[in-house]
Amino acid sequence: MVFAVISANAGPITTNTALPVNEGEFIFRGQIKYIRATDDPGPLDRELTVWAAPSVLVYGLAEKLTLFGIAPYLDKSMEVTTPEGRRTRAVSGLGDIRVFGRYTFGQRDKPGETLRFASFVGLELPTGADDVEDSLGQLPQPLQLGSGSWDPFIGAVFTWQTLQWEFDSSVAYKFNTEANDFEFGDVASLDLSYQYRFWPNELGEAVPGYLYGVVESNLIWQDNNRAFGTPDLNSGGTTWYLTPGIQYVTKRYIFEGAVQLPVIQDLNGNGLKNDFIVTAGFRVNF
Amino acid sequence: MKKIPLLSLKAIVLVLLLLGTQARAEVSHVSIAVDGLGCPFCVYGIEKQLKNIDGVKKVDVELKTGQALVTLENGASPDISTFQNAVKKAGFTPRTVQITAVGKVQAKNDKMHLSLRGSDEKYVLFVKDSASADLPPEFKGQLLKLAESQSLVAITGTPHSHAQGQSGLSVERFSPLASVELSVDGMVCERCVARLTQILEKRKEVYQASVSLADKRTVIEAVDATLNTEELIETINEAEFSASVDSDETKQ
Repeated sequence: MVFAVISANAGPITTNTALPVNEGEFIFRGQIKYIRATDDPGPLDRELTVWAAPSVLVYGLAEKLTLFGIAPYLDKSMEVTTPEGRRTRAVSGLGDIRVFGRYTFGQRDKPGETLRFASFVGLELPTGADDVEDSLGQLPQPLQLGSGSWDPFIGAVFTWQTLQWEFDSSVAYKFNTEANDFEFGDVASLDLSYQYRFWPNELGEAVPGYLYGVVESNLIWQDNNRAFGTPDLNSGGTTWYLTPGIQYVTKRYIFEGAVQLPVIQDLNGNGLKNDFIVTAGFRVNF
Repeated sequence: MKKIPLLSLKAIVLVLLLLGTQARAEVSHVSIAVDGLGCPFCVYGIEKQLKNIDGVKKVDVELKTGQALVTLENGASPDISTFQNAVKKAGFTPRTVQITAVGKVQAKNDKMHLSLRGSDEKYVLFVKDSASADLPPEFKGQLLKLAESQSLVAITGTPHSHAQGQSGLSVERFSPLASVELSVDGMVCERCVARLTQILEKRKEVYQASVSLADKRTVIEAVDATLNTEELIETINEAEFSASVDSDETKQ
């Protein structure tokens, strides 16, 4: 699955932003993701379908410090060819919860414009089941709901927002650790997001709703997984997604949708390639 | 030690209570220029922080100009730094803060003051015989005329402190106020009162509308030059109430 440190305040759809969260304010973000990966070059002819529903809760602890929690509900199923024919291996439930804090180091505000720089640090907790079995035995680790490991991550994010458009750039690195004699490869990501207000063309009085056209770019690199200390040469690699999307923003709510299309998938060995990722969601502040 | 008779004590308490209820808006609006505001979702945080301040009746943010206009309850006595801190807590940068205060222009020694209605508070506006770069000469002349006529005036400007500890107000604009009293039929509950108050105060020239359910009337304070009684009656009638002039004369 794509490692993404998504935000909940206004901003990008697939990545983070440095925009502020009001002190004492909560934001809830609900999302549905549909991930399809079918292009398996190996004899197992794997076909992976994932429905993910990450729920994000954000709290503005102080003027510059914001806390985030992401709890994903996952429904994963993989069809594989076995000596007995095609079989489906499936699992669903709570995945690994991610918590992180974001601190704004730099802020330059002008009328109708802001430049912000923030960094974040967090931890992925082993809350998802990592030992699920079916009639074929224990599910492979990448198909489990959780990794079983405590995985820290760090990152930085830059945001430039005007009344007409917004640009966000985020870098992140996740240090995956070992559990059950298995270690997922570390993940690094570089995300860019550009949002342009299509409507209203001219701003009127008070606070109108905004309709943004969104284009995002997600460059993700993952190291080889390791089982019993040995690298799995059929895992990891580099993927670049181009993500068109749309977003409607009001004072209290945001509604949004995007499709992550893999432009480049330079995966190691016979790693399973993604076909696309569809994301739809909403955000509400209270 | 002399004992204060119980009756006198009751009288003092009663007078204090009456003073409290009769207090009018000294400062009616606070306008804050907010830097860094770019999208609607961010506005909610600013509104929430400002609404949490005691005495705040309403907050209107205009995204295009980055202005947050705070309407205060009658008798509120705002501390400007509270508003600035609220904007900071929302994660934005407050730039200039202006207030709109109502009172009478009065001369004291060589200075012209705005004496706030309902309180002893005063803002120094300008020194009578000195040329101030901040204040256009025509403003000075008009304010001196208002001092002579003792008309009620709403002055918008930037508050500041003088070296002698006095509060000053750099005048941005001002409007002499007039009021009109109308009879209103058709109000049956406090919700009607709130609705009518909101409708009237939405009009740009209306500074304040005091609606009374018991007396079936409203006193509307508005900018003198643009007060149009017929238009106000039409507005009330369009809201499905029935208004008529209580007195033909508008009062200053």
